[in-house]
Amino acid sequence: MKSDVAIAINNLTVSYRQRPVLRSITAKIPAGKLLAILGPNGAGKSTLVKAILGLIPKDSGEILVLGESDVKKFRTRIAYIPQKEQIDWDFPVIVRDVVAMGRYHARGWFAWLSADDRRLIEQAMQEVGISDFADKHIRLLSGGQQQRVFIARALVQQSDILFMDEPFVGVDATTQNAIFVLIEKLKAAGKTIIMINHDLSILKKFDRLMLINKGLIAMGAPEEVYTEANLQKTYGGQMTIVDQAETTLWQAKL
Amino acid sequence: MSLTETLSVIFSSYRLELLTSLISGISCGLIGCFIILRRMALLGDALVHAVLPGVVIAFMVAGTSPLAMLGGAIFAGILTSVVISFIQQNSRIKEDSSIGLAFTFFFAIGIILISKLPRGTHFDLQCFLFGDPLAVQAGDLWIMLGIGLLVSLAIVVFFRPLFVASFDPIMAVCIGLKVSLIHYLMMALLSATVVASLQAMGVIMVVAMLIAPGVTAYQLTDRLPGMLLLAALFGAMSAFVGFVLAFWQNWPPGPAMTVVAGCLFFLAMFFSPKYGVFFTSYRKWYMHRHILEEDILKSVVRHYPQPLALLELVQHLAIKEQELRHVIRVLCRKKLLCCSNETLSLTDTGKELADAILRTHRLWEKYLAENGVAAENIHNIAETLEHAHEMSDTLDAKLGSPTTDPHGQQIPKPTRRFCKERDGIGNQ
Ligand SMILES: Nc1ncnc2c1ncn2[C@@H]1O[C@H](COP(=O)(O)OP(=O)(O)O)[C@@H](O)[C@H]1O
Ligand SMILES: [Mg+2]
Repeated sequence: MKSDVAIAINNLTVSYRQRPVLRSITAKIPAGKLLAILGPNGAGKSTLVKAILGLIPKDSGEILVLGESDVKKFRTRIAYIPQKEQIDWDFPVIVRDVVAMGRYHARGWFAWLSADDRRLIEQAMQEVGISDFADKHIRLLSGGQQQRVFIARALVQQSDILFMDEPFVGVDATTQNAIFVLIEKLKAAGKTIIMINHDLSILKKFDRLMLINKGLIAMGAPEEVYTEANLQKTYGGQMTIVDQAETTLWQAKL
Repeated sequence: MSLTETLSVIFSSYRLELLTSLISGISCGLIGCFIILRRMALLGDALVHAVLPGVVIAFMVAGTSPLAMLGGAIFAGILTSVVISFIQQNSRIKEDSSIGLAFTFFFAIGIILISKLPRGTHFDLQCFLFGDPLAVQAGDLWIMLGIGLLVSLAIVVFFRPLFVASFDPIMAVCIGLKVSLIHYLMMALLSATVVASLQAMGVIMVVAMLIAPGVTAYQLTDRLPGMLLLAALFGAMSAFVGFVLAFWQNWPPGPAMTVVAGCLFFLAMFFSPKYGVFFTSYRKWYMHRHILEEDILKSVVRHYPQPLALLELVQHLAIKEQELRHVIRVLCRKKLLCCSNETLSLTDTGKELADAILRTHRLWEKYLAENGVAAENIHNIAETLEHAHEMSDTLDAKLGSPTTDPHGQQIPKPTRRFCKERDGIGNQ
């Protein structure tokens, strides 16, 4: 049974050192759609993703992914494409090695990769158009090709949900389009794609927007939520009353 | 003693000692690769010192039993890394300072404990710091052989977890790996390796053996298994050559091995075919020269069939006259260009090559124009792309064999010789 909600977040609050970064977020992320998480720097976009993946503890609230509440179980169904600067591009690893990593979970930590695995890996590289570089070091690829290596890895992971953290930093318009073409294919295969995004000029390409600034500002189809008022709330830079109250409390504690 | 005499003495009477050094070189090289890739060199350095109290307490309790020393060292090593993480997570102190604080603290406790040892027992701090490979006992060798095998085996068995946790820790967590467990496994292996190497080179030089073989290997390969194998090889080489040098020239063994390992690194840094300073500068120079040659030919063909004055070219290409004259002499020698009375004209072969360059340039302009690149940028981008002529046939096919470029200039027909056979721009 395919549910039409990929991720259900209920009243999620996350803090770093007792200081809330995300406050009472409630949202339903639809399955099989492309969602953009938008917000200024430091808004908590990466934090939200990390909280969903269970990489940082949450203060309260619950997260249901594909109907499953145990993070250890559901996160194996999520593929995460890291932010560019999180990767050491000098790591001694060639393109095929990175893509092969996507099979480790299915195959187990200690077993050899099977012929089927190898075929999947070659197929995925073919599909995203990096077969020619399979034996090259990852440093030698362009920004767009590097992104595609990780998309190929997500493909062989065969996960239902894909997180991409700012994939378009330092990528030109042609490559951006090529990546959107790939994303369309993934969507057609029923995958949910959640992309942290900075670029306001490409919002039309998304099915849903999620505006965030320390809390959920708005969520919905681009034409509904991409309004002056919502942008003002997201990027306006004004401290909310709650923010002020918390800052005061925080200072009182010191 | 001559070198051959030294070798024969070593092989007949000091096999045990040599073997111990070799094993510690290999273990250090292997575990060192992960220390380097996880950027834990400072933590490695710290841990190496911080095992002292563990070793001293083991010594107090169980005398010179190597097994007890091993246990003490692993315990102290893991305790230190736990304390470092604890400081980091519970204060505003960052990693480097917490490392600096924790390891000096533990080292100091070790020194105080040594001073409190009962009368009549002797703990050789000198040996702890600088090593003494000749004092190795048969029992030590077995322990060290065990540790060496353990480290190698752990790296083979846990290769994937170590690999993913080092390259992409977030993915590692997502697919169910306990990253902190991997971290402490590393720390345990590191502490064990340090104890294994204590006799052979002492704690201070162990740091060198952890880092040097790994970074040397890092210069030479693009894959982790290759790096591990090479690091093990360089670790063994450094240990062997250092051991022989120490014997032969009467040098202290630990420093001898360190110096050998350092020399290997500098050799790799300069002469690695892929990343070495020497070859990369050569490739850069070659590329520069290649582009200059092609630019000269292109300028001359634009004038064709009129010959071009050499001095005009100096202005046009904005380079020193001397360099230009030199390159032109090279081109004349390659029979691409004729130079008489300070004017340049193309030979038949030169004309063909120049046409091939023009063809690539104009095809690129066409391609860029059709792919939405602004008109004012087209020429400059094509100016760099044109030197990759192996692409010209692909481009031609893609564009449907156009006859004119966006400026309406004619695109030359392909010339057999130069669009297929390459005269070599490095691909990378
Ligand atoms: N490890 C951390 N410790 C403390 N504060 C953090 C940490 N990571 C992020 N923060 C803070 O949390 C806020 C949200 O960060 P983040 O989610 O990375 O923002 P975004 O991805 O939207 O730019 C920021 O104010 C940042 O300073
Ligand atoms: Mg971020």
